[in-house]
Amino acid sequence: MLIYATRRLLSAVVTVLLASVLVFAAVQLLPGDVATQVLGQDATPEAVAALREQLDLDRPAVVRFLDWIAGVVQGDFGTSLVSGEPVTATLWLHLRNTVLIAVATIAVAVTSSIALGVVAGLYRDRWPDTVISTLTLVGMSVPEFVVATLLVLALSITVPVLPAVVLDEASAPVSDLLPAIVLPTIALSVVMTAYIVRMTRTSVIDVMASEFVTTARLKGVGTARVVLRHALPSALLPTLNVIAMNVAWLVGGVAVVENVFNYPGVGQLLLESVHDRDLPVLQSIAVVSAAVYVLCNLAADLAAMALNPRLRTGERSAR
Amino acid sequence: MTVEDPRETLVRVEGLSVAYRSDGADVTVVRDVSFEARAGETVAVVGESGSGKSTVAGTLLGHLRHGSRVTGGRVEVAGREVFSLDRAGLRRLRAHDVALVGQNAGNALTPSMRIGRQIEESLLPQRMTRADRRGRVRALVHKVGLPDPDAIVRRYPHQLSGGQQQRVAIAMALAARPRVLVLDEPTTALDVVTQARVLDLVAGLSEELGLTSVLVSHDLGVVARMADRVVVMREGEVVEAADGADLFARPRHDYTRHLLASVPRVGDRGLAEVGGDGTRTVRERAPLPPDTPEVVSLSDVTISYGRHRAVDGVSLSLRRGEVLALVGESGSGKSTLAWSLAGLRAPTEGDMRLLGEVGGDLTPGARERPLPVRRRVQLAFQNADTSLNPRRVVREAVRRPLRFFGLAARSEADDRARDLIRDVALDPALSDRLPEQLSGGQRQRVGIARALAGDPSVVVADEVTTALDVSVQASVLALLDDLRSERDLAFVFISHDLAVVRGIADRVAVMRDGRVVEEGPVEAVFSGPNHPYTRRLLDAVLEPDPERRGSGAPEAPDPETSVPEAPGSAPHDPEASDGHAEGSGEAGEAGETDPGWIDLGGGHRIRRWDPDGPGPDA
Amino acid sequence: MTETREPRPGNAGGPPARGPGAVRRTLRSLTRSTPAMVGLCLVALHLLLALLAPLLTPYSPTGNAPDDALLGVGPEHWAGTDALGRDVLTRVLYGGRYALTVSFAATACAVALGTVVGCAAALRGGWFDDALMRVLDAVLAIPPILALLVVVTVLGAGPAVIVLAVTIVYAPQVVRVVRAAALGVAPLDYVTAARARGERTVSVLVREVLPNIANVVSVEFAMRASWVVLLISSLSFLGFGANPPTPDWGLMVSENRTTMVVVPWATLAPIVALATLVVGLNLSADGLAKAWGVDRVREGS
Repeated sequence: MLIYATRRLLSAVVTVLLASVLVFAAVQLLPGDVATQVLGQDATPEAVAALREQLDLDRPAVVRFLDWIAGVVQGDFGTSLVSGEPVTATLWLHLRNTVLIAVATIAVAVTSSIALGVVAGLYRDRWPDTVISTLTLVGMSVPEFVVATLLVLALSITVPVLPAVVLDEASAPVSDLLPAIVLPTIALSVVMTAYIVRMTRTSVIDVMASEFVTTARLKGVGTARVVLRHALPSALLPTLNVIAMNVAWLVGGVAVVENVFNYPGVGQLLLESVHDRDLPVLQSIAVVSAAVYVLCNLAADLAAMALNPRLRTGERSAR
Repeated sequence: MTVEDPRETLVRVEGLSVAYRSDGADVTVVRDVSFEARAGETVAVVGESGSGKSTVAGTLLGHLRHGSRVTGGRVEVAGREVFSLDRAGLRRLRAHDVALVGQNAGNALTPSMRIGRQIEESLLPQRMTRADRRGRVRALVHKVGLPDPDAIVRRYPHQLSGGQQQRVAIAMALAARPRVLVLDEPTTALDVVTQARVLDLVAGLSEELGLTSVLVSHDLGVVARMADRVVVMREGEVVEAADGADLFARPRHDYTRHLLASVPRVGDRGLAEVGGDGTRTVRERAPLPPDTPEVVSLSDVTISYGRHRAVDGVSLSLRRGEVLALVGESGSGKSTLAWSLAGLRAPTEGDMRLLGEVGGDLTPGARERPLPVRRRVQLAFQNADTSLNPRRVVREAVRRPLRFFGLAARSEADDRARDLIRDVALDPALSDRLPEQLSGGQRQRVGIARALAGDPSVVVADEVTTALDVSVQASVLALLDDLRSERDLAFVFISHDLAVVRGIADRVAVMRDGRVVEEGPVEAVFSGPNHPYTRRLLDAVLEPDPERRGSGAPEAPDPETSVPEAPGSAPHDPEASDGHAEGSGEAGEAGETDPGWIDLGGGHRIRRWDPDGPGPDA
Repeated sequence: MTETREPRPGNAGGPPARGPGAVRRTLRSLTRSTPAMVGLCLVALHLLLALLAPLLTPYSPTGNAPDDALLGVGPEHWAGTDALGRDVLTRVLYGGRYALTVSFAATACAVALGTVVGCAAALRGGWFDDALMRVLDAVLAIPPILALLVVVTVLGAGPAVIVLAVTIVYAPQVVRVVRAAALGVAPLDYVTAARARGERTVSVLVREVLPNIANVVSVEFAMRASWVVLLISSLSFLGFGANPPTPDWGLMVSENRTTMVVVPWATLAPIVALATLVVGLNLSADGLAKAWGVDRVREGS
């Protein structure tokens, strides 16, 4: 098990490294001169030269990448082209704010979706399933900016109970931000829940039809016990991966929703940096997102090990 | 526990009909089935696939597959009418009176729960203290012959072997002390030797606990071994019901006669042919002329996966028109060897040659072999469901190799494909069908036709009849035998079923753990003396003959219940033959003398074994 | 030795089907399922409206008419007008053209590329497969929106760039799904038979594997399409997709959000259009998956 966990950890590190190579390459090696691109075609040669200097563009890309990644490992994400300040401080601040939304969303979405998914799966093709599945379908089909816009229409304009836009600075204390995370959290949860419910439902239906669940029933075991003890551990296994995938989606969804509410999180920072072509910031966000994604997958794998003794005991895992 | 009145009827099925809905129409799977089982009796429900026997087994526990329903009749178990019970009543019935042992315990045990917990669960309805339950579980584990109960109860299902899992399933079923035990193909997924042991266990426990059992099986050997009464089913209906001894001695219905006649026997001296009325004639096997040339020779072939040697130093040869059977349990390396011969995996070491007019090296994979060599070794598969591309009509499966090997011009390929399909005794009209529209046996024939399309001199047949019903198996075996004599075709016939091998093979090689432990003409191997492992395989064969009932148990100790293996029980003393093996200088047809072998003459040789060595399955 | 004794195969699947029969059976399975029909009809309706947009409305989607700004719902303007006086319904109809063309092109590219690479990975295996999966893991680790934004930042907005960007973002996911499906087919005996014949990899792929994963690929297409529509509209909403004054649903929501209190339909109309198209695509994907027995939810994960 220890060997498995170590291997998994190593491969996670490799994935993050590869992802950062890809991001770096995409941002800095694509056709054209980076400095000209950042400043636009009409920039003065002096400005371009200054920027080239600032970006160290005269050194080979490999050296620049190694330099950058060495900095990242030490927690130094470079300097913003726009503000001239270190990226790290700004990034952490926005990250903190986004984590507030993300944690709340994950908590809401995961619990409600597993509960709804299990109910839909157990009542397959009967009315609770029909209702849940229909809602799920709608949730999947409406982009998060629409949900956010409709929420604003409903809860900020029609019945003004919650703020439509956040006026706080990124550095505002957490307590000030708390009322502001409600609407973004609902918006993100709706979409995220939809995907997880579908997976849980399918997986519950599969497992409930499996031979071992039938055997447990034919043993005369009560329904609650059959579901909780026999079916759920196996049914949650595939769901774990979907949750991990959804967290990756969350980083993107956050960008859109934060934009709607003007919430000072990573998404907002991302859009600003794209708008200003602030490459160091953009790169940093990409690497941090990749790391988050990989960490979530790692967590999902560890949770899978807890649920599946076959992985835990590491014996005959390939049958 | 045991019922006082021995005549009490515990299972009564009356006029039962079951149907499921498909495409808006009812399809009847069980029609007007009646039988009963009295206390202490074992009743077998026997039939081929599609006979509805498993559906009947499920109804005894009030279980129907999704979409099915009872359309008539009643099922009464332990005095209660199963389908009139409410949920709680049904649960009580299952918790106290009737228990099921299914086909595949590997799937029937919850993967995320410890063994002990799962057995203990069956005891929950009884008012017992936790400690009592634990004690009971350990006693049960011990009773079903599992070693070290304290350790086993803490294991998860995947940490046990197939035989051990089935023992756990039995313990789980017996935990609640049911009066009726339903056994649905309880040993079908197991190796022969394990099967014999599990059957012994069930028989012993049934007797000891006075259980009433309903055994569902397709295997007439198993039925003969276990049943007091037999109900024969076919396409949802009962065709015959009789006492066990009676049924096997004097089957009345044509279908029963036919079924019985189709079962290959170890005692046959050739392939049995079954007449339409169920008469049985054995096709006497003509020995190959001694000067028959070899077509394939293997020497010291080793195939490794990483450090594991799946095949370990195997030397064999195959003559024209000869059927060489490779026999062994799963994991013995027989299929690996065969696939390597067919060019799907190059051997790690050793030599494989094709001999004859077109000779060549067979060690490279298929793609590196020259076309004329490649097409001379062809493969036929076990699983008729996956051997044909479901998106192409079956003619295409036969036509492709004809075109690929350049054996037919575009214009004549279709006709040639149709001819080949006729050659395997199929209606050429079937050639425009998709595989899903054919039966398993028909598909298997198409697979054989595809192998023949390359005009091979050797066909590697990997368990080609294993998945087939016994009557279909008989006809496919007959086809193979015909092809062999018509086309002078050599077969490498892989099987785990010694009775089948007896009928079709000229020579037998028994494999175990990647090595050949015994090799020789079929007669010699079946009359012995044998390697202890071969002996065990032979002893484990079950015949549809209740007279042989007692001998099913192998004498060797059970690897699931004990660890050390006693010296082999071969009738032949290996020490005594030392002089013969080493002194014979020029050995017989088996090739050069090898100090690792005991040569019994006539090509029959046995690998020496270490009587004190570790047990075969340890 | 005749075959008459053998039982007919279990005809649980209804009447026997030939080649075209399989198509018919799929169709029947689709037409029997109400959700699938609703989905297909919605998608067809959207196609039709987008095609006929110029015939259905007298207004120009891009021409400003300051005098008519912010009109409510009425007989002249069924869904009102926006702040620049443009007819909302017209812009919604034309917006379908943009959404459908770009999404379709992007999905087709992603699925085609993903299918080829996925099959190659499954059949070749070995180091090629290992290395590829490594790189794909890395690509998947970057959130789609972010990847899209990076590409758009570097290459500039525009339909061609968006198609390219979506291909880059979604092809890896298609690769994973197709690879898994192909790996499921690869060990089957009929593929083994082809390999034992020594057939070339391309030939094994085209003759044996592709026909048997066509269902997975089709479902994948329908499902990806719904995601791509969502992704592209999000991108437009953020201001990095379609450039004003292009009629685009995402862009319209973003433009008209500020006047939502005055003319709600200027925001709601594009939302309804977007949601119905995606619901239609999702229902079609579900219907196809069910008709072919493809586990859509799991394939999609």
